Amino acid sequence: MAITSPETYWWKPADKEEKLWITIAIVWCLILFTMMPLWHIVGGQNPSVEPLKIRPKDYEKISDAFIEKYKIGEESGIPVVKPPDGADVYLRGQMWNWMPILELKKGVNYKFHISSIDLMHGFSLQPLVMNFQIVPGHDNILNITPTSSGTFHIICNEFCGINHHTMVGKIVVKD
Amino acid sequence: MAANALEFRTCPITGKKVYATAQNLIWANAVTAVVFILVGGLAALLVLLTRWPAVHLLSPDLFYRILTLHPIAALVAWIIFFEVAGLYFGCTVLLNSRIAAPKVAWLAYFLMLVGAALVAVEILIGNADVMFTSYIPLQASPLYYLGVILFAVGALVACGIFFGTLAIAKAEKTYEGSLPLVTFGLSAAAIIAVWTLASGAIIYIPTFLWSLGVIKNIDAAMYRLIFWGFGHASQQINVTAMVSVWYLLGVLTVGLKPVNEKVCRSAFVLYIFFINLASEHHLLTDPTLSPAHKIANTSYFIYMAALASMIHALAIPMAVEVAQRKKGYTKGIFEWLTKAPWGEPGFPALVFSLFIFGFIGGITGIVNGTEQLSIKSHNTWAMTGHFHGTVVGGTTLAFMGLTYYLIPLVFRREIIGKKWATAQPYIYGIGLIIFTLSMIAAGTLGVPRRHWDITFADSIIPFSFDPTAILLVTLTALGGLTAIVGGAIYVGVAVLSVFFGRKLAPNEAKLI
Amino acid sequence: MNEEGKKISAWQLFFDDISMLFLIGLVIPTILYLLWGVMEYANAPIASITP
Ligand code: HEM
Ligand SMILES: [Cu+2]
Ligand SMILES: [Cu+2]
Repeated sequence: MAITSPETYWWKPADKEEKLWITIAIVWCLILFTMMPLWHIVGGQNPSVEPLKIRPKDYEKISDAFIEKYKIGEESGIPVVKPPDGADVYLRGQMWNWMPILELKKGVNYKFHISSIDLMHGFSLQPLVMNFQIVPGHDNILNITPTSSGTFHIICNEFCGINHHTMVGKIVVKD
Repeated sequence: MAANALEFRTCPITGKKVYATAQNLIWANAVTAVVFILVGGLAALLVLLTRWPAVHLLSPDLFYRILTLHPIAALVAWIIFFEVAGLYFGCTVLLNSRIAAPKVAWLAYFLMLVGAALVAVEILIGNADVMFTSYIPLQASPLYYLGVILFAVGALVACGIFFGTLAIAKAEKTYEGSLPLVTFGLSAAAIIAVWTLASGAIIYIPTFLWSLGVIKNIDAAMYRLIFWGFGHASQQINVTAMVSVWYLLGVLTVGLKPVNEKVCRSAFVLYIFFINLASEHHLLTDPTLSPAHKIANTSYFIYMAALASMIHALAIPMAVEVAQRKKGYTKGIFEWLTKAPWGEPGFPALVFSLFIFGFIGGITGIVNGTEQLSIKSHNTWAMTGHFHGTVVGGTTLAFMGLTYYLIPLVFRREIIGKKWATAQPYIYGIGLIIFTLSMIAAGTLGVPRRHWDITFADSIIPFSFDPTAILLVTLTALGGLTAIVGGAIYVGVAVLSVFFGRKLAPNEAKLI
Repeated sequence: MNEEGKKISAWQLFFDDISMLFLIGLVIPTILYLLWGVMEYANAPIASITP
């Protein structure tokens, strides 16, 4: 029994059925594993691959400059920014909004720099449901090409203080 | 507590020696575990009723506070106290051995108790609204971190007692040849626990100093890396302890004998070597960390730990079948299963635990643990659904099933309310299946975890989810309530039996 | 060796050696997960503040 010591020589070959199952399992593991780098190389969507640290103070300055430069208006007190095609886009998580509201063009590639100037935030793009951990001190760099037009929202899905559940941002993609 | 170190009785059911000192320690740790699952369950009820938009019970500040308490009480205190009881059972009773250094074992117990109580109190008085992950730069009071450190040190000492007892049992030749499989599995869990608790020390000690102002800066991403070496790896202790308990439940319910010791033990060894790498699962959408680090670790190094679980998934049902056929249930392909002891709590607990862990917790774990699919599920309710499949449907349910046998076997009390005890795994299991599946489905629609208001009523920029998502949250609540009823029955039966159950006579070989 | 003089498989002896398993179990995740990860964070470049 499993609660008593086994016989003296227990290192014995497995049965046919066990061997078959284990072989299938190993093959499956190998397939799954091979898919990981393969998918990373062949697939079009990966988490950030460019390592970059950035001091929250510096990030705040850079993203303020970005907002100032490309601001086209304001909505409920939040700046609306329309960056030029292919620009570096700074999207800032802060207690408790995503700054600024972005207006982007369909089919154009933008280099997003998402970071936080205070706590951890959770970038969660709706309704596509794409999620990234936003960490103060680190630049989450993502190359994003909007492939459909419309209004998208960013909710926060990492706890960031008492008003965490009110943190919503917006991206408008135009044709 | 004052029992003589060499006083023992012989168990009328297993023929094993049960030392009084060990028995008292197992009792204290297991009873404390049950107290904490009561706290954790009450917190679960409050959290659940708040997440259910139709009820929306607590205010935001209370919600986040209780949401910090729920995993501390359930995930940390309930599970680890129970595991310590299980470790002591595995190294003393199963090996016919006395326990090493009982006084130190009591010290470990009190460290854990004081630590857990300190953490719970700090949370409840509002000094630690930081979630159980306490991600920097969110800051809790120094006492909160101190509590976690005391608890972890206590647990580490308990692992030391376990290894010490293994050494004593070997030196005193209380068993012959190799360790029994269950004790071997528990050794694997203890090894995994040492790495886990060491990671905990590496991150909580600087964080404690940071909260005191001694250390100025801790990198937030680095914190996550090392924290999950503690936070996720403790789930791997749970997996390994749970699989050991599966084998133990198999013995207690059908007299399971491993078909091939080599196969089962190899699977545990794969756990020891590779399972802790899965801490990476939490970091897949993080910045800065390289894809190579992500892939090597999140795949448990070529899925070696997943292979181990696949092996157990065959070995356990197979051994149950062999044991049942030996008893004469040989008609057709499935008589062994239909004639299994479905009418006693241990067997349905084993089956639901295996099923929910494997098919709900395990599969979603492997799926979510890839770079690209983690983008889809990170921090959504799909995650919360996944780990209620592993750690609640799997580990907690297995531990609950075992409790009904520990009480007569080790504490020598008869179970009060056997019918309730038998119904309990069914109610808990079915509730959890509804709960976890709806939660996962809601998560795939984007419903976030740790969120007070998914209607976003107070947001500057309005946003609302698809009504299907709200429906799924409601279903989650109904499944969760069912599971909570199951949890309440467990606490009721366990507490009544431990304190008021009829004392079994010394030679009474009655299990359930 | 036992009475029959048959040798116990080296694998069996290895599996019985809890301290060896313990050692390997600590070393693998420490190197592959902790040390490697800490190195990556420590060595990541820091952005200079010229937008
Ligand atoms: C049947 C009983 C249970 C129910 C109904 C339940 C329900 C919930 C709910 C509704 C949440 C909050 C989700 C959110 O807001 O994101 C949650 C979180 C959680 N639960 Fe449970 N739970 C139960 C039992 C347990 C047990 C026994 C454990 C541990 C062993 C556990 C571990 C956790 C953890 C770790 C979290 C995550 C908290 C966080 O995001 O910080 N739960 N649970
Ligand atoms: Cu936020
Ligand atoms: Cu948030």
